[in-house]
Parts: sequence; C-alpha cells; structure tokens
Amino acid sequence: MHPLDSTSTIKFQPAVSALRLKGRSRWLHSPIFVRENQRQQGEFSLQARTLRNLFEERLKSLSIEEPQTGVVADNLGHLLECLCSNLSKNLDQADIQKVANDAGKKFLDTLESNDETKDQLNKVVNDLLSGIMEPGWIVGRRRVDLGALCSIAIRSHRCSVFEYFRRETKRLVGCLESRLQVEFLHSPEGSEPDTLAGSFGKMDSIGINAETLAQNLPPYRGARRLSNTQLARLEKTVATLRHWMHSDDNPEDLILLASKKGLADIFPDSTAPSVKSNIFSNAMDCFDRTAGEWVEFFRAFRTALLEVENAYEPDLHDEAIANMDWSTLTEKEFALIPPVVALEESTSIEGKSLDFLNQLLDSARPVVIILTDVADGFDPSALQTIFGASHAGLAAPIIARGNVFVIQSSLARPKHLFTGLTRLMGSSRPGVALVSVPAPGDSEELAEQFLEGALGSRTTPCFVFDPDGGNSWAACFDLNGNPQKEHLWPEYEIELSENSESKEGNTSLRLTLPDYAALKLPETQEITVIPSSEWSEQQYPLAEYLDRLQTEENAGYPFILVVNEEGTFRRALVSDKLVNSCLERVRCWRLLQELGGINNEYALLASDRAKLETAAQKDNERETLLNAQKDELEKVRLESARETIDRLVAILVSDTPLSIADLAAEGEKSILVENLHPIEAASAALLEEGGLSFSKDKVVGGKKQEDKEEMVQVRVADPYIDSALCTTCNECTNLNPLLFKYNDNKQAYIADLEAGTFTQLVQAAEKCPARCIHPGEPRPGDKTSTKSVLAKAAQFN
Amino acid sequence: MRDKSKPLTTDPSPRFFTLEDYEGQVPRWCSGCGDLPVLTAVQRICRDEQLLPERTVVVSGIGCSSRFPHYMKTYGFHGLHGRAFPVACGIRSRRPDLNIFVATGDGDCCAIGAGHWIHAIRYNMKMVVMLFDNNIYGLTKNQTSPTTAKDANSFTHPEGSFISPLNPIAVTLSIANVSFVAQTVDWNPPHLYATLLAAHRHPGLAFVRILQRCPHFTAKVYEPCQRDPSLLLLMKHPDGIPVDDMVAKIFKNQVDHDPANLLEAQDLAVRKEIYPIGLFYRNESAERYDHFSRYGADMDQSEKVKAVEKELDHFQI
Repeated sequence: MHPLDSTSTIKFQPAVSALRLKGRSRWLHSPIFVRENQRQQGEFSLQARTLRNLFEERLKSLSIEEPQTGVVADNLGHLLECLCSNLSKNLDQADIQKVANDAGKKFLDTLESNDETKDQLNKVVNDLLSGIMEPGWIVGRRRVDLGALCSIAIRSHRCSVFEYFRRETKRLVGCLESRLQVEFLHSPEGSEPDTLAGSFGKMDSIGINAETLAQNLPPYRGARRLSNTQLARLEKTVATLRHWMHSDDNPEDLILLASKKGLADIFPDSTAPSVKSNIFSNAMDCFDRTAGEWVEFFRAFRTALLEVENAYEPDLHDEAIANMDWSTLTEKEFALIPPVVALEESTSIEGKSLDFLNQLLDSARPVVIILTDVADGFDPSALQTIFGASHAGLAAPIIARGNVFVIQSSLARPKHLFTGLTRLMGSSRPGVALVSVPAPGDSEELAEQFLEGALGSRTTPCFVFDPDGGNSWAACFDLNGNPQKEHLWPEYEIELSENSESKEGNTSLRLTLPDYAALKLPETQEITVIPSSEWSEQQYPLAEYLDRLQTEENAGYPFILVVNEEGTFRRALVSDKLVNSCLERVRCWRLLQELGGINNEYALLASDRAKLETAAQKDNERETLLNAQKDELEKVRLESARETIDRLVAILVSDTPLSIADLAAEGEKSILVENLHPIEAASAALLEEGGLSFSKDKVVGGKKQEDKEEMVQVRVADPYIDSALCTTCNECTNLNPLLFKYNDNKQAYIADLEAGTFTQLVQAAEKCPARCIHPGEPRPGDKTSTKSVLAKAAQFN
Repeated sequence: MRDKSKPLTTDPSPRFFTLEDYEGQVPRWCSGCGDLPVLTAVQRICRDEQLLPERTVVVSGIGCSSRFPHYMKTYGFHGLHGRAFPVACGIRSRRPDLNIFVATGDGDCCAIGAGHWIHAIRYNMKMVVMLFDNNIYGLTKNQTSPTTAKDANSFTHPEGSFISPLNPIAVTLSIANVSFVAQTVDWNPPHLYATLLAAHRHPGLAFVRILQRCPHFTAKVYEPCQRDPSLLLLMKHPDGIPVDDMVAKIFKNQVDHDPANLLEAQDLAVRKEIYPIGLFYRNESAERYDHFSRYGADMDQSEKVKAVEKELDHFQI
C-alpha cells in the first residue's frame, strides 16, 4: 500500500473525464431537438439534431455583423447550459418559449456588453432561439428524457397510420350507416308516422299529415332486403368502429408496464398498472389482451371494407375473419396497435425473471422491452461479457436468438437512442433496448461524467442489431455511436494547466476502464492515488503498461492520471483486479469491433492477400513489358542494320559513289572516316549508324597502308521522292519536266538532278500535295540555295 | 454460236497495253485534286490486268469526278446527274463481257441519285463503284452536299450546315444483298490501288468510298488525316485488302476486322472520331441480278426471230 499524502482527503477525479467535459465539447451530443419533417403524401417522419449543431448552423446563416456572432459562437456552450438548466420536464410549446426567453436573458446578462452591442447580441440570441420555437421536443440526458424519447419514437411510427385509420373508419362508418338507414326506411318501422315526421322535418307547416301519409304509403316491394345475419353483422361492425372513433386513443399512447417504483421518474405521467407477478409474463398477457381488442377492431374494419365494396361473401369471408389474430395483421394494421412497453432494471434480470424474459422472446410477441442500466461506476466483481459489463450479459444471448431487435445505447447519445428506438418500435419483432441511464438524483454534471465514462471506456458500448437488416453481420450489426470506434480507447487532447505537477508533456489522454472506475474515488479500493514523491520510472500509463504486458517480463506498475478541483495532478495506481477486468474488456471490445467490421481479421487477411496478388501481377506485367521491349529493341536494331546495308549497297552500285564526297564537310549527317577505303569506310560508318558494334581495325585490315592518303566523306542527305506516295498531280512535272519524271506507275521520281536547281526542288516539295518530295541539301555550287530556301527545305527533309 | 466474251476480231499478234494506252484527255481537274491519284490507280489496274480498252467502260453522272470517262482512253458514258447507276446497270444487264467502272461523287450518288444507289447495291451487278467523297459540290462551286460536315460553311449554308452528314458506308452496309464495301483515301496510292484492284476482282458490285481532297473548297477537311495517319484506322485481315508491310507500318491505329462480319463492319462504319480504311464487308455469294437479266443475251439473230414468231403464233386466229 502506498502511503497517501496530505491531499488524499481532497476528492480526485480522472483527469481525462474531468478536463474533457469542461467547455464546449460538453454539449456536443446532447441535448437534441426533434421535430417533424415536412409531410410528404401524408407520410409522417421525425428529424433529430443536436442543439449545438442546430445553433451552429443557424449562426452561420445569420446575416448579422461578424463580432457579435463570434461572441455568441464562442459562448455557445454557456448558452446551452443556461437553456438546459431551465428545462423542466414535460414542456409544452408555450413553456419552451418561456424557458428559451429566460435562458436568453440569463445568457445576455452574463456577457459583458455595452448598450450598443447588447441590442445586436439580443437580436442574435433571439434569432438563434427561434430555431427551437418550432413545434418539437428537446431531449437531454436526464432519466425523464428516456420516457420522452419512447413517446416520440412511438409517435413517429404510429402517427401516419393513426390518421389513415381515423379517416378510413370515418368513411366506412358513414357508408355503412347510410346503408342501415336505407334498410330501416324500407322496414315497416320506417313507415311509422313518427319516423316519417323525423325524416321530413316540419310536415305540418307544409300541410302534410304524417299519419295520413303513413297509411297511404304502399308497402315496400323494392329491391332485396338485407338478411338478418347481414343486418346483425353490419350493426356490430358499425358499433365496433364507432367505439374506436369515440375512444380517447392517442397516437402517442403506449401500454406501459414497469416493475418498480424507482422507474416512475422515467415515465412520470403514465399510470403504469402495478405488476404483481413477473413483469415479462405480465407483458405477454397484456399484449395478448390488447392485441385481442385490436383484432376485434380490425375484424370490423375489414368486414366494413368488404361490405362497402359489396364484396362480402359469407362462405368465403366468415371463417377468415373469425380466424384473424395478431399474427395475421398487415404491417400497416400492426403499426396501429399501441406498443406494450415493459420497463425494467437490467440488474433485476436474473433467475426466474430471466426465464420469463426468454419465454416472452420465444413467443415472438412484438413487445418492447426497455432495460435500464444505471451508469454509476465500474464494479470489477460484475460478470464480464462481450456485450456489456454490467448488463449481466443480457445482450449476447438475446442477439444469439437471431429474431430479436436489440439496441444498446446510452442517454449520453440521445440521437443514437432516438434512431434506435424509432427503428425498434417500427419492427414487428420483439425488441430489447438496453439503455444506460444516470442514477436517480445525480446532478447533470455527474450524470454526464458517468454516462460518458461508461460509453467511452467500452463498458456499455452502443450498437444496434437489426435481424431484418440483411443476411450478413455487416448488414445487421452497427457499431456507430461509440466515440472513436476505430480505436481501442477514445483518445482526447487535453489542455493541462500550467501549474500542473505532471511531468508528462503529453496532453493526449485515453479514456480507459480504470478512468471510469476512478469516477468513484475515493470509495473504490481498486485505485490508489499516490503523492508525487512516490512517482518512479517503473510506473507506466495504463495503455503503455498493457502493451508492455505482451512483451516485457517485468511490466512495471500501471497508473492513470487524476486531478482534484484545485487542478493538482496525481498518479493513481491501478490494482491487478482492475487490470484483469480491463484486459477482459479490451478483448470484448475487439470482438465487438470485428462484428462491426472494424479491424476484421478476415478482411485484413483478404486485403493482404489481394495486395500480394496485385503486386505479383504487376511484377509479371512489368517483366512481360520488359521482355517485349527487349524483343522490339532487337528487332529495330536488326531492321536498321538491314536498311543500312541496303543503302550501302545502293551507294556502291550507283555510278558515282564518290561524287558526293566533297559535300560532306558541312552538315551533321555526314560521317567522316579517315584513312579508309571508300567502300569500307561507308560500310563501317553505316554499320555503326545501324547500331552494330564493329571494330574499325578489323574492317580496315591490311588495306590501311594502300590508301593512306585518301579521305572519303559519305553523304546521306541527297534529294529523293517517295514515289510510292506520289498522287500524280502533275505539279512537279509541270514545274520542271526534265528534273521530275513519271515512272511506269505514273508516279514521280527525280530523273536528272543536273536539269534543275535546288530552289526548284524546294518549290516542288512545297507544291506537292502528297508531301513526298524531299529536297535534301543543295549541291555544292548551287547558287539558288539562299538561307530562306534552305529554311524551307528543312521542313521537307 | 458466237462467244461474246471473246474479242470480235482475232488478232494474230498478242496485244500488250501500257499505261499510256489508257490515258485519254489531259485532266482538267485543279492542281492537287484528289481525283488524279484515283485516275492513275484505275489506269494502272487496267494496265496490270491488261483489260481490253474496247471492253472497258467508265460510267459517270455529273460532277467534278464524273469527268472521269473523258480522261480514260476506253469507252465511257458521261450521263445525267445522279443516273450513273441506272446506266451502268443497263450496260451490265446485257453485256457480261465488259469491265465497268462507275465514277460518282457524293452529291451525284448520295443526293439526287440516292434511289438508284440503293437499288444498284441490291441488284449487285458486277461493277466497280468509286464514290469520290470530297464533302462538297465542287463543280457547281461550293454547295453543301449530303456528306458535308455539320457546321461546315458553304455558299448554300454560309453559317454552316444545319444537320449531321450522311454516312455512305453505314448506309450501304445496311442495304440488302450488299456484297463488297471498302473505304480508302486518295493520298495513299498503294492502299488506293490495292483497294480498287480488290474491288475489280470482286464478283459483284464493289462499292468503294474514296475520301478525296478538294484543294479548293474543302482543303481542310482531310488535311489532318493526311498529315497524321493516326487519325485513320487500318482494318487488317487475311481476307481484307492486302497491303504491304511498309505501307501498313505508317498506320499507328490498326484493327483486325473479318470482312465476313457484317455487324462488326456496321459498328466500325459509324465510328465518328476516326476513319476506318480497308475492307468493311465482302460476300462473294450474294445474289446477282445480272445473272437473270442477261437471259437470252447469247441468242443469235435467227433464234431471236424464231422466238418472236413463236410468241406471235399465240395470237393466230
């Protein structure tokens, strides 16, 4: 046991939780504002947004000057605080306006402002608060908000069908009643003087005597009368339908069963019947009773539909209508039945109670079961399971059933809870909602710390399991709503104050399980705060310690950082028991993450495999390309060598192989080969051009001595025509019919260079539409080759 | 009975024709006109195949290119506007021994002569049809033709043609009983020659669209293709137009296309970003109307008289 120093009597809190929830981030997820969407074709739907998000968006759209908007934006957390502290339970619209106005005034009072800016600030705040003046609900993280969310969720799926059935029932009742009225008028009773008087109104005033009329009316012999059974059916139907129409059924109604008085603060207005036996068996009976009543209504409703269409055939429909029960209802009809909600504390589910719960779930009755879990710190002695530490492993076996809609959520995330509850209420399966709620009587701040701690430390993570989502885990299971769900623990940047004694420069802290447990300091025995004099190198932050456990033999001692109200930081050592719980929780969270598709081992393996395959494929392609390039290079080399030889042969067999030798002094294309026999010189030069390596000495051989003084220059830039491309346009032959002539195929070639000038060659090249004349370079002594002509010639070479 | 496919006179000494033997008047086409290489290519084919000048006839309608018969020293028929096909079909109906070349332009064939064009393709009588497509009425000086590109200016449409042009290859490929459709360019004489030679050897109507430059009115239309052969798509196949490797080398874009595949040909024909050249489609077994129309052409005079008298006998009283 480490000795405690003098500050031990001061209450310490985990640093991460205490510091993070200061200031603006506190209002990030709660409260939310739920309002009705624009109705489209009678469809009713609700939209939930956090107040902070709502206000921030409104601030952006405001067209008021910059500084005042900035002031309000900076103090938005404060405004929300003012607003939330004024919110009381069950506000109606007028109350909300009052609360909002009061909060606005209180907020403005706390801001230091002069008269000028005050008006503008007032305007900004009023504009901002008008955002929540629309009809809607504000839901925070108090216990009562869970009840409110349930009511809203029920409303969201029941409201539209409710209106539809009210409308339809009214129409059907109208139709059937007029039918009965006609029937009545055709009966002998219909001809009674009193009835007649009732039908006609004041008969005396128009001089008709009802009795005389009744005596003189011929007996009715018209169309077929209703049979007695049909008449009875119609009357019964109308009575049933009218009964519902005149009942005080409300779209927000739900049938609530709560086991304990302690839960009364969640639904303060409802009068839950006192439950004598087990709540779940009660819920089953209650559902059967309710469903029975409603099935009676739907029997009447369907009968009425058939009767109005005149399509009721007793042989066909009597049996079907009589056999109706809740499982034969359509989805729309089912939505009209007010849900049976059983509210229970998760800690009471054990032993027999668990059996009853299983029975209820086995019966597949769509009862909504809400199990509250009070977030009041972590107890390492509680049973550990993958789906939550303190829910005594409830969620896992329920999910394993496969036919139950399960959500686990927290009042710290009202939006997640609202979305989950809405989906759950709309499902025709049994639904179980495990909700973290604050302990009764906890202050707003304390409640928030516990809720956030339970969520962040992965003690009660959020998830939704929707069996109708699809055929895979990915489609059914959703891990959204957890803070930084990709990581093992959520990590937050914390600003440590300057006078802190913490020697760590690191300001990023993780919210771990011991941090959650440390909320119960100093009662908890698992965490020991030590004075700074006891700090040593052997102590490691918990996350680091857990890593060391894997590798090091002597892992040291784990600690977390705690802080007191004065801002003094201390290390707090974590007991082995808590470390074990923490390891267990890490393992559970990893499993959950895999179910939610994060760091999924199979996916990672597949991705590694795919990467390897791609790399191998790329290597293969590269190799193929390299080989192809090599082949191509070889081919080109051979081809150019062949061309070189061809040209060499052409030079050799021409009449004046050396007539151009003296031209080669200028021009880049000339190749100078010294002391070689002309033929060999040309051959060596051209072979080299073709990329073949050739030793000069080898070529020269013994002839070097013989032609010592001869110097040969070989030109390759002679004029030529690509005759095969000539289009016989007569341009060149018209220009100089001696220089240019047609060959056998009537395509031009250069017949006699002496017969024309270089300029003519260039002119012909310019005119040639096939661009097949290449003038080369001027012959020496050609006086027509001016600079401009040479420049033009260059385009065609 | 006389075999009409043999010369009328039996010449004791074998004849040999050079290119000059097929050269008629000096062409009056503009300098640089794309018709000139086509003329040369046809003359070369006549020479290389040693076609008898007196057994060769060039038929044309009206237009620049339709002056073609004047420049060939063979028989020729410079007909009415758009009516090259009926004349050629008429000749082929009774003269299986003649070599027929039809020179027609984009205005002549695709506008006023479109009806004849469609039915001539369907009749599939053996002849070589050369469609000189320069995208304009050149002889009448710059009027929009059916193949003029949209937005291209002309004297009839100074602010540009309103509607998209007709695609002669796509139209021809969709006509029933089509048997040979090819496309070539005038500025590549080896390919032009090879295409027209294949057309000449085809047993049926060979339709060849020649992308032809008009240096005067539509000089810009084919200039990019002439400068950059990658704007042309060479269709290659062992059954296609045989081209030398040296010629094929200049075309960067090449595609293997089996000329027996009509659907693929139609796909290629409608491509807009590139001009495919080569053989689109060939079906040597398509029905030929001239096989029916020449019935009785080999009867001599007395047989004909007999036949007429026999018919008249039916009316004897």
